[in-house]
Amino acid sequence: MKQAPHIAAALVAVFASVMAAVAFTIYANRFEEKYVHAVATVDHSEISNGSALERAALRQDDLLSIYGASELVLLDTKYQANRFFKTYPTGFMVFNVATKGGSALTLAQKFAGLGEDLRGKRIVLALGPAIMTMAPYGEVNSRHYDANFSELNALEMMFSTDISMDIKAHAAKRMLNFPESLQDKPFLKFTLENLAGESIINQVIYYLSWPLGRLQIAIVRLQDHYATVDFIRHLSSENTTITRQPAEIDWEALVLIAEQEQIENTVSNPYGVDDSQWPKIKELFLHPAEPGSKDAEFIDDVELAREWNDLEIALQVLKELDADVVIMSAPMNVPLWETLGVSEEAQNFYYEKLHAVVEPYGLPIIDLHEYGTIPYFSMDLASHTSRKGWIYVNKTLDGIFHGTLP
Amino acid sequence: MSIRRLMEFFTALYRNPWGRVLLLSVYYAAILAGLVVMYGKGDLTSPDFVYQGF
Repeated sequence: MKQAPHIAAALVAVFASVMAAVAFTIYANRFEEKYVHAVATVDHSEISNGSALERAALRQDDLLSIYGASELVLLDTKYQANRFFKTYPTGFMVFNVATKGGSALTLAQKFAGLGEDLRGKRIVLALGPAIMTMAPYGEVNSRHYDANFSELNALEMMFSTDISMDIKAHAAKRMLNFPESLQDKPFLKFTLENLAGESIINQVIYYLSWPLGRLQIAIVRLQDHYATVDFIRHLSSENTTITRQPAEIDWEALVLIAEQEQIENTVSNPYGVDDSQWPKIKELFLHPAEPGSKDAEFIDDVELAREWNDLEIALQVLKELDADVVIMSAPMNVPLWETLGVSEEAQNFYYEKLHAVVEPYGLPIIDLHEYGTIPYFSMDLASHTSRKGWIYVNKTLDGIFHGTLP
Repeated sequence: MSIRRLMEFFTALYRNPWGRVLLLSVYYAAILAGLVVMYGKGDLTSPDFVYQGF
Protein backbone atom coordinates (compact mmCIF):
# COMPACT_ATOMS: atom_id res chain seq x y z
CA MET A 1 0.00 0.00 0.00
CA LYS A 2 2.88 2.34 0.82
CA GLN A 3 4.52 1.61 -2.54
CA ALA A 4 1.38 2.24 -4.59
CA PRO A 5 -0.68 4.80 -2.68
CA HIS A 6 -2.68 5.87 -5.76
CA ILE A 7 -3.81 2.34 -6.59
CA ALA A 8 -4.68 1.65 -2.96
CA ALA A 9 -6.60 4.92 -2.68
CA ALA A 10 -8.46 4.31 -5.94
CA LEU A 11 -9.47 0.85 -4.73
CA VAL A 12 -10.68 2.25 -1.41
CA ALA A 13 -12.67 4.97 -3.21
CA VAL A 14 -14.26 2.46 -5.59
CA PHE A 15 -15.08 0.11 -2.71
CA ALA A 16 -16.65 2.97 -0.73
CA SER A 17 -18.70 3.96 -3.79
CA VAL A 18 -19.95 0.41 -4.28
CA MET A 19 -20.90 0.21 -0.61
CA ALA A 20 -22.74 3.53 -0.90
CA ALA A 21 -24.61 2.20 -3.94
CA VAL A 22 -25.58 -0.98 -2.08
CA ALA A 23 -26.74 1.01 0.94
CA PHE A 24 -28.81 3.32 -1.25
CA THR A 25 -30.38 0.34 -3.03
CA ILE A 26 -31.42 -1.22 0.29
CA TYR A 27 -32.84 2.11 1.45
CA ALA A 28 -34.67 2.66 -1.87
CA ASN A 29 -36.16 -0.84 -1.85
CA ARG A 30 -37.60 -0.28 1.63
CA PHE A 31 -38.84 3.18 0.72
CA GLU A 32 -40.54 1.90 -2.46
CA GLU A 33 -42.08 -1.00 -0.57
CA LYS A 34 -43.50 1.43 2.00
CA TYR A 35 -45.10 3.73 -0.57
CA VAL A 36 -46.01 1.44 -3.47
CA HIS A 37 -49.69 1.38 -2.39
CA ALA A 38 -49.74 5.17 -2.44
CA VAL A 39 -48.15 5.33 -5.88
CA ALA A 40 -50.78 2.89 -7.17
CA THR A 41 -53.43 5.57 -6.65
CA VAL A 42 -51.72 8.31 -8.66
CA ASP A 43 -50.57 8.77 -12.24
CA HIS A 44 -47.04 7.39 -12.22
CA SER A 45 -46.46 7.40 -15.97
CA GLU A 46 -43.55 9.77 -15.29
CA ILE A 47 -41.52 6.84 -13.99
CA SER A 48 -43.07 4.11 -16.14
CA ASN A 49 -39.80 3.51 -17.99
CA GLY A 50 -38.28 2.16 -14.81
CA SER A 51 -39.10 -1.08 -13.06
CA ALA A 52 -38.39 -0.53 -9.36
CA LEU A 53 -41.99 0.15 -8.42
CA GLU A 54 -43.31 -2.68 -10.57
CA ARG A 55 -41.06 -5.06 -8.67
CA ALA A 56 -42.31 -3.64 -5.37
CA ALA A 57 -45.93 -4.01 -6.56
CA LEU A 58 -45.39 -7.65 -7.50
CA ARG A 59 -44.29 -8.37 -3.93
CA GLN A 60 -47.59 -7.09 -2.47
CA ASP A 61 -50.37 -9.60 -1.88
CA ASP A 62 -53.09 -6.95 -2.20
CA LEU A 63 -51.97 -5.36 -5.46
CA LEU A 64 -52.95 -6.76 -8.86
CA SER A 65 -50.57 -5.54 -11.57
CA ILE A 66 -52.12 -4.80 -14.95
CA TYR A 67 -49.97 -4.45 -18.05
CA GLY A 68 -51.43 -3.04 -21.23
CA ALA A 69 -51.93 -0.04 -23.44
CA SER A 70 -54.17 2.97 -23.89
CA GLU A 71 -57.38 0.93 -23.55
CA LEU A 72 -56.80 1.22 -19.81
CA VAL A 73 -55.51 4.75 -19.44
CA LEU A 74 -56.91 7.03 -22.12
CA LEU A 75 -60.11 8.09 -20.39
CA ASP A 76 -59.55 10.08 -17.24
CA THR A 77 -62.45 8.93 -15.05
CA LYS A 78 -63.22 8.02 -11.46
CA TYR A 79 -64.17 4.56 -12.72
CA GLN A 80 -60.62 3.76 -13.80
CA ALA A 81 -59.51 0.75 -11.79
CA ASN A 82 -56.76 2.57 -9.90
CA ARG A 83 -59.35 5.04 -8.61
CA PHE A 84 -62.28 2.67 -8.32
CA PHE A 85 -60.44 0.24 -6.03
CA LYS A 86 -58.54 3.01 -4.21
CA THR A 87 -60.16 2.18 -0.85
CA TYR A 88 -59.69 -1.58 -1.24
CA PRO A 89 -63.47 -2.24 -1.13
CA THR A 90 -63.03 -5.94 -1.88
CA GLY A 91 -59.58 -6.30 -0.34
CA PHE A 92 -57.30 -5.36 -3.20
CA MET A 93 -56.16 -2.54 -5.43
CA VAL A 94 -54.72 -2.54 -8.94
CA PHE A 95 -51.27 -1.36 -9.91
CA ASN A 96 -51.83 -0.08 -13.42
CA VAL A 97 -48.75 -0.33 -15.61
CA ALA A 98 -50.62 0.32 -18.86
CA THR A 99 -49.34 3.22 -20.96
CA LYS A 100 -50.65 5.25 -23.87
CA GLY A 101 -49.23 3.84 -27.08
CA GLY A 102 -48.06 0.65 -25.37
CA SER A 103 -47.50 -2.43 -27.51
CA ALA A 104 -46.61 -6.09 -27.19
CA LEU A 105 -42.94 -5.50 -28.02
CA THR A 106 -42.64 -2.92 -25.24
CA LEU A 107 -44.38 -5.28 -22.84
CA ALA A 108 -42.13 -8.19 -23.83
CA GLN A 109 -39.13 -6.10 -22.77
CA LYS A 110 -40.86 -5.07 -19.56
CA PHE A 111 -41.67 -8.69 -18.65
CA ALA A 112 -38.18 -9.89 -19.48
CA GLY A 113 -36.78 -7.06 -17.39
CA LEU A 114 -38.79 -8.14 -14.37
CA GLY A 115 -37.39 -11.65 -14.78
CA GLU A 116 -37.55 -13.83 -11.69
CA ASP A 117 -39.76 -11.29 -9.90
CA LEU A 118 -42.61 -12.39 -12.19
CA ARG A 119 -42.32 -16.09 -11.47
CA GLY A 120 -45.58 -17.44 -10.10
CA LYS A 121 -47.07 -13.95 -9.72
CA ARG A 122 -50.63 -13.30 -10.90
CA ILE A 123 -50.78 -10.42 -13.34
CA VAL A 124 -53.22 -9.26 -16.01
CA LEU A 125 -52.05 -8.68 -19.56
CA ALA A 126 -54.67 -6.39 -21.05
CA LEU A 127 -54.77 -6.39 -24.82
CA GLY A 128 -56.88 -4.51 -27.30
CA PRO A 129 -57.73 -4.92 -30.97
CA ALA A 130 -56.65 -1.39 -31.93
CA ILE A 131 -53.18 -2.07 -33.36
CA MET A 132 -54.24 -5.27 -35.14
CA THR A 133 -57.32 -3.69 -36.71
CA MET A 134 -56.39 -0.06 -37.31
CA ALA A 135 -52.64 0.58 -37.47
CA PRO A 136 -50.82 0.41 -40.82
CA TYR A 137 -49.52 -3.16 -41.28
CA GLY A 138 -50.99 -3.92 -37.88
CA GLU A 139 -47.80 -2.65 -36.34
CA VAL A 140 -47.14 -0.32 -33.43
CA ASN A 141 -46.62 3.29 -34.46
CA SER A 142 -42.88 3.98 -34.20
CA ARG A 143 -43.52 7.24 -32.33
CA HIS A 144 -45.55 5.35 -29.77
CA TYR A 145 -42.86 2.67 -29.49
CA ASP A 146 -40.11 5.28 -29.07
CA ALA A 147 -42.08 7.13 -26.42
CA ASN A 148 -42.53 3.96 -24.39
CA PHE A 149 -39.04 2.64 -24.98
CA SER A 150 -37.03 1.92 -21.85
CA GLU A 151 -33.28 1.43 -22.06
CA LEU A 152 -33.41 -0.35 -18.71
CA ASN A 153 -35.97 -2.90 -19.86
CA ALA A 154 -34.20 -3.43 -23.17
CA LEU A 155 -30.84 -4.04 -21.47
CA GLU A 156 -32.43 -6.30 -18.87
CA MET A 157 -34.00 -8.37 -21.62
CA MET A 158 -30.83 -8.67 -23.66
CA PHE A 159 -28.67 -9.65 -20.68
CA SER A 160 -31.29 -11.70 -18.88
CA THR A 161 -30.37 -15.13 -17.59
CA ASP A 162 -34.04 -16.07 -17.19
CA ILE A 163 -35.07 -16.24 -20.84
CA SER A 164 -33.69 -18.21 -23.77
CA MET A 165 -31.24 -16.96 -26.36
CA ASP A 166 -33.77 -17.73 -29.09
CA ILE A 167 -36.33 -15.31 -27.76
CA LYS A 168 -33.65 -12.67 -27.14
CA ALA A 169 -32.48 -12.96 -30.74
CA HIS A 170 -36.05 -12.80 -32.02
CA ALA A 171 -36.78 -9.70 -29.96
CA ALA A 172 -33.47 -8.08 -30.93
CA LYS A 173 -34.35 -8.37 -34.62
CA ARG A 174 -37.67 -6.64 -34.04
CA MET A 175 -36.16 -3.93 -31.83
CA LEU A 176 -33.69 -3.06 -34.57
CA ASN A 177 -36.68 -2.14 -36.75
CA PHE A 178 -37.10 0.95 -34.56
CA PRO A 179 -33.74 2.72 -35.01
CA GLU A 180 -34.94 6.00 -33.50
CA SER A 181 -35.26 4.33 -30.10
CA LEU A 182 -31.59 3.33 -30.27
CA GLN A 183 -30.18 6.75 -31.05
CA ASP A 184 -27.63 7.78 -28.41
CA LYS A 185 -27.57 4.21 -27.11
CA PRO A 186 -24.57 2.75 -28.98
CA PHE A 187 -23.92 -0.06 -26.54
CA LEU A 188 -27.51 -1.27 -26.65
CA LYS A 189 -27.54 -1.09 -30.45
CA PHE A 190 -24.24 -2.99 -30.57
CA THR A 191 -25.72 -5.67 -28.30
CA LEU A 192 -28.89 -6.01 -30.38
CA GLU A 193 -26.88 -6.33 -33.59
CA ASN A 194 -24.77 -9.09 -32.09
CA LEU A 195 -27.82 -10.93 -30.76
CA ALA A 196 -29.62 -10.59 -34.06
CA GLY A 197 -26.53 -11.68 -35.99
CA GLU A 198 -26.21 -15.38 -36.52
CA SER A 199 -22.46 -15.85 -36.83
CA ILE A 200 -20.22 -17.38 -34.19
CA ILE A 201 -18.33 -14.09 -34.04
CA ASN A 202 -21.53 -12.26 -33.09
CA GLN A 203 -22.11 -14.72 -30.28
CA VAL A 204 -18.55 -14.46 -29.00
CA ILE A 205 -18.72 -10.66 -28.98
CA TYR A 206 -22.07 -10.79 -27.19
CA TYR A 207 -20.66 -12.98 -24.42
CA LEU A 208 -17.54 -10.81 -24.18
CA SER A 209 -19.75 -7.74 -23.68
CA TRP A 210 -21.75 -9.48 -20.94
CA PRO A 211 -19.88 -7.92 -17.94
CA LEU A 212 -20.27 -4.46 -19.48
CA GLY A 213 -23.98 -5.12 -19.97
CA ARG A 214 -24.52 -6.17 -16.37
CA LEU A 215 -22.54 -3.14 -15.16
CA GLN A 216 -24.69 -0.85 -17.32
CA ILE A 217 -27.84 -2.46 -15.89
CA ALA A 218 -26.57 -1.92 -12.34
CA ILE A 219 -26.03 1.77 -13.09
CA VAL A 220 -29.42 2.27 -14.75
CA ARG A 221 -31.14 0.41 -11.90
CA LEU A 222 -29.58 2.86 -9.46
CA GLN A 223 -30.86 5.72 -11.60
CA ASP A 224 -34.29 4.09 -11.59
CA HIS A 225 -34.26 3.88 -7.78
CA TYR A 226 -33.20 7.51 -7.56
CA ALA A 227 -35.99 8.65 -9.92
CA THR A 228 -38.54 6.56 -8.02
CA VAL A 229 -37.54 7.81 -4.58
CA ASP A 230 -37.55 11.36 -5.92
CA PHE A 231 -41.03 10.84 -7.41
CA ILE A 232 -42.40 9.49 -4.12
CA ARG A 233 -40.85 12.33 -2.13
CA HIS A 234 -42.82 14.80 -4.22
CA LEU A 235 -46.18 13.17 -3.49
CA SER A 236 -48.45 15.13 -1.20
CA SER A 237 -49.39 13.76 2.22
CA GLU A 238 -52.95 13.35 0.91
CA ASN A 239 -51.63 11.04 -1.80
CA THR A 240 -49.60 8.94 0.61
CA THR A 241 -52.50 8.27 2.95
CA ILE A 242 -54.18 4.96 2.22
CA THR A 243 -57.70 4.34 3.48
CA ARG A 244 -59.11 0.84 3.49
CA GLN A 245 -62.89 0.64 3.54
CA PRO A 246 -64.41 -2.79 2.83
CA ALA A 247 -67.70 -2.38 0.97
CA GLU A 248 -70.25 -4.30 -1.04
CA ILE A 249 -70.27 -3.22 -4.67
CA ASP A 250 -73.60 -3.00 -6.47
CA TRP A 251 -72.28 -3.60 -9.98
CA GLU A 252 -75.65 -3.32 -11.74
CA ALA A 253 -76.46 0.03 -10.16
CA LEU A 254 -73.02 1.33 -11.04
CA VAL A 255 -73.44 0.27 -14.67
CA LEU A 256 -76.59 2.39 -14.92
CA ILE A 257 -74.93 5.42 -13.34
CA ALA A 258 -71.81 5.15 -15.47
CA GLU A 259 -73.87 4.63 -18.61
CA GLN A 260 -75.77 7.84 -17.96
CA GLU A 261 -72.51 9.71 -17.49
CA GLN A 262 -71.17 8.22 -20.71
CA ILE A 263 -74.29 9.26 -22.64
CA GLU A 264 -73.81 12.80 -21.37
CA ASN A 265 -70.32 12.71 -22.88
CA THR A 266 -71.37 11.60 -26.36
CA VAL A 267 -73.53 14.50 -27.45
CA SER A 268 -71.37 15.41 -30.45
CA ASN A 269 -72.36 12.40 -32.60
CA PRO A 270 -75.04 9.76 -33.07
CA TYR A 271 -72.64 6.78 -32.83
CA GLY A 272 -71.95 6.72 -29.09
CA VAL A 273 -68.36 7.90 -29.54
CA ASP A 274 -66.99 9.88 -26.62
CA ASP A 275 -66.84 13.61 -27.32
CA SER A 276 -63.10 13.60 -26.58
CA GLN A 277 -62.46 11.08 -29.36
CA TRP A 278 -65.01 12.09 -31.99
CA PRO A 279 -62.90 14.83 -33.65
CA LYS A 280 -60.17 12.25 -34.32
CA ILE A 281 -62.40 9.84 -36.22
CA LYS A 282 -65.42 11.79 -37.48
CA GLU A 283 -64.17 11.84 -41.08
CA LEU A 284 -64.45 8.05 -41.19
CA PHE A 285 -68.19 8.39 -40.73
CA LEU A 286 -68.88 10.94 -43.45
CA HIS A 287 -69.80 8.14 -45.85
CA PRO A 288 -70.96 5.02 -43.95
CA ALA A 289 -70.19 1.84 -45.89
CA GLU A 290 -72.53 -0.93 -47.08
CA PRO A 291 -72.93 -3.72 -44.47
CA GLY A 292 -70.20 -6.31 -44.91
CA SER A 293 -68.51 -4.42 -47.73
CA LYS A 294 -65.23 -4.15 -45.81
CA ASP A 295 -65.17 -7.65 -44.34
CA ALA A 296 -62.48 -9.08 -46.58
CA GLU A 297 -60.18 -6.11 -46.08
CA PHE A 298 -60.68 -6.24 -42.31
CA ILE A 299 -59.94 -9.96 -42.07
CA ASP A 300 -56.87 -9.53 -44.23
CA ASP A 301 -55.56 -6.71 -42.04
CA VAL A 302 -56.10 -8.68 -38.84
CA GLU A 303 -54.57 -11.84 -40.27
CA LEU A 304 -51.39 -10.07 -41.38
CA ALA A 305 -50.96 -7.69 -38.44
CA ARG A 306 -47.35 -7.67 -37.22
CA GLU A 307 -48.49 -7.05 -33.67
CA TRP A 308 -49.39 -10.76 -33.39
CA ASN A 309 -45.71 -11.66 -33.85
CA ASP A 310 -44.74 -9.22 -31.13
CA LEU A 311 -47.45 -10.64 -28.92
CA GLU A 312 -45.92 -14.08 -29.39
CA ILE A 313 -42.58 -12.72 -28.17
CA ALA A 314 -44.29 -11.36 -25.05
CA LEU A 315 -46.16 -14.63 -24.47
CA GLN A 316 -43.00 -16.68 -24.90
CA VAL A 317 -41.22 -14.50 -22.34
CA LEU A 318 -44.11 -14.94 -19.90
CA LYS A 319 -44.09 -18.68 -20.45
CA GLU A 320 -40.36 -18.96 -19.86
CA LEU A 321 -40.73 -16.89 -16.68
CA ASP A 322 -43.63 -19.07 -15.53
CA ALA A 323 -45.79 -16.06 -14.65
CA ASP A 324 -49.39 -16.60 -13.60
CA VAL A 325 -50.92 -14.46 -16.35
CA VAL A 326 -54.51 -13.84 -17.31
CA ILE A 327 -54.98 -12.39 -20.79
CA MET A 328 -57.83 -9.90 -20.91
CA SER A 329 -58.82 -8.34 -24.21
CA ALA A 330 -60.94 -5.27 -24.82
CA PRO A 331 -63.86 -6.20 -27.08
CA MET A 332 -64.48 -4.94 -30.60
CA ASN A 333 -66.86 -2.00 -30.76
CA VAL A 334 -69.32 -3.98 -32.90
CA PRO A 335 -71.94 -1.34 -33.83
CA LEU A 336 -69.28 1.20 -34.76
CA TRP A 337 -67.35 -1.18 -37.00
CA GLU A 338 -70.62 -2.28 -38.61
CA THR A 339 -71.23 1.34 -39.56
CA LEU A 340 -67.88 1.24 -41.37
CA GLY A 341 -68.90 -1.86 -43.33
CA VAL A 342 -67.39 -4.63 -41.18
CA SER A 343 -69.97 -7.21 -40.11
CA GLU A 344 -70.01 -8.77 -36.65
CA GLU A 345 -69.02 -12.12 -38.19
CA ALA A 346 -65.92 -10.55 -39.71
CA GLN A 347 -65.11 -8.78 -36.44
CA ASN A 348 -65.19 -12.16 -34.72
CA PHE A 349 -62.05 -13.01 -36.67
CA TYR A 350 -60.13 -10.84 -34.20
CA TYR A 351 -61.17 -13.16 -31.34
CA GLU A 352 -60.42 -16.28 -33.40
CA LYS A 353 -56.94 -15.02 -34.15
CA LEU A 354 -56.41 -13.95 -30.53
CA HIS A 355 -57.29 -17.41 -29.25
CA ALA A 356 -55.20 -19.08 -31.96
CA VAL A 357 -52.15 -17.06 -30.95
CA VAL A 358 -52.56 -17.31 -27.16
CA GLU A 359 -53.81 -20.86 -26.64
CA PRO A 360 -50.55 -22.65 -27.58
CA TYR A 361 -48.96 -20.93 -24.57
CA GLY A 362 -51.57 -22.39 -22.24
CA LEU A 363 -52.60 -19.02 -20.82
CA PRO A 364 -56.23 -18.29 -19.87
CA ILE A 365 -58.08 -15.66 -21.91
CA ILE A 366 -60.98 -13.43 -20.99
CA ASP A 367 -61.86 -11.77 -24.29
CA LEU A 368 -64.90 -9.77 -23.07
CA HIS A 369 -66.47 -10.79 -26.37
CA GLU A 370 -69.95 -10.57 -24.87
CA TYR A 371 -69.57 -6.84 -24.27
CA GLY A 372 -68.86 -5.99 -27.91
CA THR A 373 -72.50 -5.32 -28.70
CA ILE A 374 -73.33 -3.51 -25.46
CA PRO A 375 -73.87 0.21 -26.22
CA TYR A 376 -71.31 2.57 -24.70
CA PHE A 377 -68.92 -0.14 -23.52
CA SER A 378 -66.12 1.29 -25.67
CA MET A 379 -65.82 4.99 -26.26
CA ASP A 380 -64.38 4.83 -29.78
CA LEU A 381 -63.30 2.64 -32.68
CA ALA A 382 -60.06 1.62 -30.95
CA SER A 383 -61.94 -0.03 -28.06
CA HIS A 384 -60.78 2.47 -25.46
CA THR A 385 -62.80 1.67 -22.36
CA SER A 386 -65.63 4.08 -21.54
CA ARG A 387 -67.00 5.01 -18.12
CA LYS A 388 -69.57 2.25 -18.42
CA GLY A 389 -66.99 -0.16 -19.82
CA TRP A 390 -64.79 0.42 -16.79
CA ILE A 391 -67.48 -0.95 -14.48
CA TYR A 392 -67.49 -4.24 -16.39
CA VAL A 393 -63.69 -4.25 -16.52
CA ASN A 394 -63.48 -3.61 -12.77
CA LYS A 395 -65.91 -6.44 -12.11
CA THR A 396 -63.71 -8.69 -14.24
CA LEU A 397 -60.55 -7.59 -12.40
CA ASP A 398 -62.28 -8.27 -9.10
CA GLY A 399 -63.08 -11.77 -10.30
CA ILE A 400 -59.51 -12.34 -11.48
CA PHE A 401 -58.01 -11.21 -8.17
CA HIS A 402 -60.39 -13.31 -6.08
CA GLY A 403 -59.95 -16.34 -8.31
CA THR A 404 -63.53 -16.55 -9.56
CA LEU A 405 -62.31 -15.75 -13.09
CA PRO A 406 -61.31 -17.10 -15.52
CA MET B 1 -8.25 27.21 12.34
CA SER B 2 -6.44 29.44 9.86
CA ILE B 3 -5.73 28.39 6.28
CA ARG B 4 -2.03 28.18 7.08
CA ARG B 5 -2.59 25.76 9.95
CA LEU B 6 -4.93 23.77 7.79
CA MET B 7 -2.29 23.48 5.06
CA GLU B 8 0.29 22.39 7.63
CA PHE B 9 -2.09 19.74 8.91
CA PHE B 10 -2.70 18.32 5.44
CA THR B 11 0.99 18.50 4.54
CA ALA B 12 1.88 16.56 7.66
CA LEU B 13 -0.84 14.07 6.91
CA TYR B 14 0.37 13.68 3.32
CA ARG B 15 3.91 12.93 4.51
CA ASN B 16 2.61 10.00 6.52
CA PRO B 17 2.19 6.94 4.20
CA TRP B 18 -1.19 6.01 5.68
CA GLY B 19 -2.30 9.60 5.75
CA ARG B 20 -1.42 9.91 2.08
CA VAL B 21 -3.59 6.91 1.22
CA LEU B 22 -6.40 8.40 3.28
CA LEU B 23 -6.19 11.77 1.54
CA LEU B 24 -5.96 10.23 -1.90
CA SER B 25 -8.94 8.00 -1.11
CA VAL B 26 -11.01 11.05 -0.18
CA TYR B 27 -9.76 12.78 -3.32
CA TYR B 28 -10.75 9.92 -5.61
CA ALA B 29 -14.06 9.41 -3.82
CA ALA B 30 -14.80 13.11 -4.33
CA ILE B 31 -14.07 12.75 -8.06
CA LEU B 32 -16.44 9.75 -8.27
CA ALA B 33 -19.10 11.63 -6.31
CA GLY B 34 -18.69 14.60 -8.64
CA LEU B 35 -19.13 12.39 -11.69
CA VAL B 36 -22.25 10.85 -10.16
CA VAL B 37 -23.70 14.28 -9.41
CA MET B 38 -22.93 15.57 -12.91
CA TYR B 39 -23.82 12.54 -15.01
CA GLY B 40 -25.37 9.98 -12.72
CA LYS B 41 -28.98 11.04 -12.60
CA GLY B 42 -29.84 9.56 -15.96
CA ASP B 43 -33.20 10.06 -17.57
CA LEU B 44 -35.87 7.43 -17.22
CA THR B 45 -38.75 9.71 -18.10
CA SER B 46 -40.76 9.18 -21.27
CA PRO B 47 -40.17 11.71 -24.03
CA ASP B 48 -43.03 14.10 -24.57
CA PHE B 49 -45.42 12.88 -27.19
CA VAL B 50 -49.02 13.35 -28.03
CA TYR B 51 -50.95 10.13 -28.22
CA GLN B 52 -52.93 10.36 -31.42
CA GLY B 53 -54.67 7.03 -31.54
CA PHE B 54 -54.64 5.32 -34.90
